[in-house]
Amino acid sequence: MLNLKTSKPFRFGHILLGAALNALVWAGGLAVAYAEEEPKLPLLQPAAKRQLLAITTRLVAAGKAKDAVRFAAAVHPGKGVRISASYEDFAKLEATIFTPALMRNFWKSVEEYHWGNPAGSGDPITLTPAEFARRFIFDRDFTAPDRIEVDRVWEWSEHFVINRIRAAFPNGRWVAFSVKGPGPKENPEWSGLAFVFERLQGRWYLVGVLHQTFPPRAN
Amino acid sequence: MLNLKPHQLAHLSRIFFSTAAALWLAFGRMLEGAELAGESTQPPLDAATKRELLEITTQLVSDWKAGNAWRIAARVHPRKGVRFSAYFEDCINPKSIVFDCAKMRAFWTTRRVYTWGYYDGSGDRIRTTPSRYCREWIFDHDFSGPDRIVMERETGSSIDSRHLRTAYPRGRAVEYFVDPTEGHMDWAALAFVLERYRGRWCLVGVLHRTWQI
Repeated sequence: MLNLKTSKPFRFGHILLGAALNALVWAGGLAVAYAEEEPKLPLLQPAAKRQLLAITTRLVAAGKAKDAVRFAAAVHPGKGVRISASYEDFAKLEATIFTPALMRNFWKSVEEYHWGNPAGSGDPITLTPAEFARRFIFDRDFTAPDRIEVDRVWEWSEHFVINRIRAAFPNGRWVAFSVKGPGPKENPEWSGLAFVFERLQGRWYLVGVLHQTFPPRAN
Repeated sequence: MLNLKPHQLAHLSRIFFSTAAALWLAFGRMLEGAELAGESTQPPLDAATKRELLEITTQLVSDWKAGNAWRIAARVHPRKGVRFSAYFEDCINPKSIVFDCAKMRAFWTTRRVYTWGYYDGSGDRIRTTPSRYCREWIFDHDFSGPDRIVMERETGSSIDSRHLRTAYPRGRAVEYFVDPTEGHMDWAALAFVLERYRGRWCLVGVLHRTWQI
């Protein structure tokens, strides 16, 4: 119990101390928040961002309509497109690479590919492209996104994800779509789809497609 | 009963009042948090509506860029008109400026000077012509190449702020955001608020947002 006779008079010192500690914690938090890696590439001009946005919107529509021909037309002729649902495998060779010719048969192909190990279970995914796209890439209607981000730190901004993209494509620029809210059936709460582009002879070409969800999908 | 000396009473009262103050603060924060975390008053949008809104606002952005007054006027709410806010918070100001379709059609041709609001630093009136207002307060950045487009009314986001919810309880906002360049505070956001009127999405608000003092 409180002993009134012996207790010291109330002082404000500890409040100041508390405030100082709070300030320290805040400053630490801010320092961590601001100690982000600076983009090494110059910022995109609005015209380039507009182009990327338009291309990606068309790609998403093509993906929804399973229009492989239109999709293939955007793919980088030299590098192909690297498709993955696992940022861990994205920079590795494991991720599946589709040349424009392969891409044209994307939704028709019956061949099963190994698509890397997703973050959810680590079990390898072996599926046909069409099935993989249905379950892992276009698992939501990305033509109606909640958020679109153009070559900036995105919503699912864990930096390692961006670093993986940067590791795979040092000159890549990306557009990320995300959809929130619980999806139908076993779909996760949040789903994001990023398209990575590189410039070749004055045109933007698709070099990477990375999909991610929260919580991560297992299969 | 309790025989307290004055200094003891003072001590007790200090304890009492500091506790009360702490509780008051905590309770206030709790309410605030509850309000922030509270469900949006509107149901989440379905995909078709989101797609439609995105198409409409993309068109609006290019119209604002090109100065295509007729197309914008065709989109303006026929009954309510469109309200311009130099800052997001201005939208709850009942006196803020509203343009109807006819005024909107003359947006880039009229030379009339209007009062659009107040500078947040000095409190001076923003008094300019519409075309100049557009240059400085609507399309001051190229929003046709944004860094971020936000559709959802997510908790704590600018387009789900109390102000917007109060001013446009039935409105849906789409925000175009341009990130700051390195070392500057020159980010900007432009939001269009649309409301459904007779089955059609109509423009009721054009809100601008920059760094404020």
